[in-house]
Amino acid sequence: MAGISSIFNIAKEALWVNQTGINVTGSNVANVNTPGYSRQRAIIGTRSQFDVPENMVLTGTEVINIERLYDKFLEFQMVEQSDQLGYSNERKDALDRIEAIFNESNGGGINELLDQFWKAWEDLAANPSGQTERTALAYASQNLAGMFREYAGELYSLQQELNTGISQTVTQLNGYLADIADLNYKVIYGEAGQNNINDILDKRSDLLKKVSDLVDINYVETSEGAVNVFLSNGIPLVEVMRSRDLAVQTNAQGLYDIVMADDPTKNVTSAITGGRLGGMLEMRDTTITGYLGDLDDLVENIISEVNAQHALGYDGYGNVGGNFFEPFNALMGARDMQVDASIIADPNRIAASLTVNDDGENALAIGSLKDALIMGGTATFGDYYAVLTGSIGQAVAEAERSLSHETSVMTQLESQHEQVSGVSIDEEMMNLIKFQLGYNAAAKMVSVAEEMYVELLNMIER
Amino acid sequence: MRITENLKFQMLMNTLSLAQKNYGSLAEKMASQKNINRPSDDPIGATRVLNYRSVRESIAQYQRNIENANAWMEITETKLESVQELIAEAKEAGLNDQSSDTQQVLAQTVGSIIEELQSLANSKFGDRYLFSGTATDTEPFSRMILPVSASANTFDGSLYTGGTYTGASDKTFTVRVVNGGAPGAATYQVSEDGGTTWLPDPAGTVPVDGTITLGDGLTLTFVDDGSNPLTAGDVFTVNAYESGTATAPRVDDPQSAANNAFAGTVALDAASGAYAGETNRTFVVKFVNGGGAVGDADYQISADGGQTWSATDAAPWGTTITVDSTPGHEIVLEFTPSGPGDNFAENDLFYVRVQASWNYNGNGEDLSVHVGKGNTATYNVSGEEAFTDRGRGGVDLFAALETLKTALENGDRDLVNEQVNRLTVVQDHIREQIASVGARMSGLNITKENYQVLDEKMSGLISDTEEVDLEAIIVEFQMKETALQASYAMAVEIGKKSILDFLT
Repeated sequence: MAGISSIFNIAKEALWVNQTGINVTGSNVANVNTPGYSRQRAIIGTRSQFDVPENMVLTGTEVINIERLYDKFLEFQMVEQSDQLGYSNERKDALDRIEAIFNESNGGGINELLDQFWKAWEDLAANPSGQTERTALAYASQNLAGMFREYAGELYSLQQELNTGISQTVTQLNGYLADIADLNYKVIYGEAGQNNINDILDKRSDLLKKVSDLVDINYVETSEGAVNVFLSNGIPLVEVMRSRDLAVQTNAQGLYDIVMADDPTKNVTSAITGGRLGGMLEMRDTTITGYLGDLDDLVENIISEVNAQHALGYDGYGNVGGNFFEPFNALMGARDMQVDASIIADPNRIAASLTVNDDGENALAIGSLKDALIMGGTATFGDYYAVLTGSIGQAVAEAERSLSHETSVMTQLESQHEQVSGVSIDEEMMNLIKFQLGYNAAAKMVSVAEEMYVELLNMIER
Repeated sequence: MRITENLKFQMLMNTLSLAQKNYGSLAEKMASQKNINRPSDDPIGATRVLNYRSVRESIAQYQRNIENANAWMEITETKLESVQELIAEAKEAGLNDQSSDTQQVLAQTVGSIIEELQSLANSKFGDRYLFSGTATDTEPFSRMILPVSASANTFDGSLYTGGTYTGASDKTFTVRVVNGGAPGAATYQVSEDGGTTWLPDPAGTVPVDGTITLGDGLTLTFVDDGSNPLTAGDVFTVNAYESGTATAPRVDDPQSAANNAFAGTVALDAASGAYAGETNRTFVVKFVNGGGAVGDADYQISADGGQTWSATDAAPWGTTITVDSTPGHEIVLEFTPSGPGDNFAENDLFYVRVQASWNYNGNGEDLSVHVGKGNTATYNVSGEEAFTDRGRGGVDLFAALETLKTALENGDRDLVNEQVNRLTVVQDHIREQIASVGARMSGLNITKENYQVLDEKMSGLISDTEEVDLEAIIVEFQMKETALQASYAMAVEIGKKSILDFLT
């Protein structure tokens, strides 16, 4: 038969268990607003009292485990979604800035200056010897060239900015990878040492999402509890307790390639297609390069067409027309569109006439280029530019749609995650009441047992 | 579903930020009054708006071109109508059959009519001459020093005056043929005082080239291209004016373009003759294939001011280049380098203007502007077309008037009548010109009206595409505002209530 002491024992266990329950509730309440925190739960089980005969009912209690409520599959999805979201975010940011460069909703951009440029030629055609018309044309041309330089220059500096961003992101990524390797170490030794590692696991989950926000990765959890992280092409970034750094290396275009720090010949740029890095790389190497190429194309054609027609004419002094624009600079492209210095210095050098007699016919011919289907043989300069603007708008709208889609998927996943892992004050309060009740009851048992002892001792004294 | 604290607040945040975003975008639309504030708001619409705007800019330019052209043509029309009136007056003077005293007065009337007509023909629009073709900087007409052959003359070849008149005042030279014959045989005398004294005495022989000296720098050339040679008793009158110009074909001094590398001189070679063509021209020599030294550089020649070029001539050429090879009337340019190594560069240009045998300094080219996509309209009437015998007119207005004046002075009735008939032809021709200008103007006006309609349509399309319907947007704005307020109210309420309020 179990003695009164075993009542104490059970009450002690009950006190302990309920106190732990309140402690866990306390942790949960304390971390109600902590990002990445997974709520915990004390798993309570029975404990047989082995020194008790079989026919006696005497079951104790114990906290088997402090469980972290958490869905591994959901985590996997969220990590994956992070790279989509990071990628979409980066695209949207960059495209917004590109759109701001090309925004002509209020006029004043290339489209308007292009129109003014052609109008200035028409005006000159009507009065070929007019100084006002010549000067106006020289200014209109400089404004146009200046605007092309500005647009292309802004695109170029955005590209450079993204390039710098790529290098900074790689540094940030290396930090996260090292942290994951470190946490892996703590998980392995913590689990072996039976310490509570829930907060470490939370931190590691959070880091995985952060890494995935930067770059598209795959990861697997090993049997010992470590996570191994790989690039999409299978190159390992974290292997158990060791992380491999990425590094940047300047390529032939003067932009950064991403390579393995311990093996700079291993170029992994093309393997990165997601996350912020993937977004930056795509913007830098495809989108901006494409738009710059389109501007270059437009500028090259304007320069060559105008110059070709200009050379067929004669200036105010009877000279053969020289260059109107400086010849297209293949290296700098639209960033270096310039009106020829001789035209700026003396607008009489504009070759407005098809004969040496100031007839204005060449200005008319250049003015006609406005309507000529030069770009690809199917579009005028104005059409080409309008289509470029439209396609940028299209890309921004598409990026916005995909960002809002990715965001809502992420929100959905996060709310699912919240449902599993989030802290509910209502629930915690109920638990608090529950454990408090249990604790009070256990305490009552102690005082009953104590009374029983006192009663027993009194019996002896009497 | 398990609702956690974070979930609750996250949902609230989402609602709020969505409401804010809608609210913000509507506020932007209301402020800018535009649906499209950036290309991504409506990429297709934004592209269209850019196109519409360009079309409107083009339309504005076409309208401006049409207005300019119409203004030019209105002035042209007015001037031509005044010309008609003056011609009618001149005809009246010619038809007035009066005594010789009156005829002197009439001759003076015709003289002042000529001056008035000349200032009409030299009218400007702004600072551009109306009637000089595309050479709008060149004053088109100068007074002719025209030789007049008396109606009784047997000689039926042509005549022109040459040289530059240096006399201090207007003067009349009378030439009579003493002995008939071809140039080289015929003899002549000149009188500067209306026939009182005749020089030289004895009579001089007309040189083989047909050119005799009148005095004060002027020459008179007989071109024996008719059937009858100079005959004794033939009389020719030349009225010389201080500001007048001889009627002989002229070749100006060649000029070098400002930008040429060649620093030497270019001049007419002595082998050059007079110009024999029918129209005013500019011959241009252009050095190609990188230029080179005098006598060696490859060149091309243009006879139309530099629009079309001959094939490249790569043969060695000494020091002279022939730009016009009409037999007997070659125009030859001679190049003299400023020193050794003074070479031509690519595109060095040299040009020489030549003028046919009348007093028009402009050309017969059209001035045109764009009045539509790929559509140009000619808006000028060249002086050549309107007033000379080189266009379709067939009669030179100023030659007819100068002849009429001289004929009146000389009392040469037949010649007077002949000129009156010629003036009638001119009148008909100018009437045609006026009608053509009027027709062109009304055509352009129709085009312009069409553009006005098109422009309104375009501006309608632009506002349909990018402008907001303000009423609709205000209603929508109020709805969104209500939604936003409700979200705020809900956020505050939800934060307030919790289980803690009920725990004691």
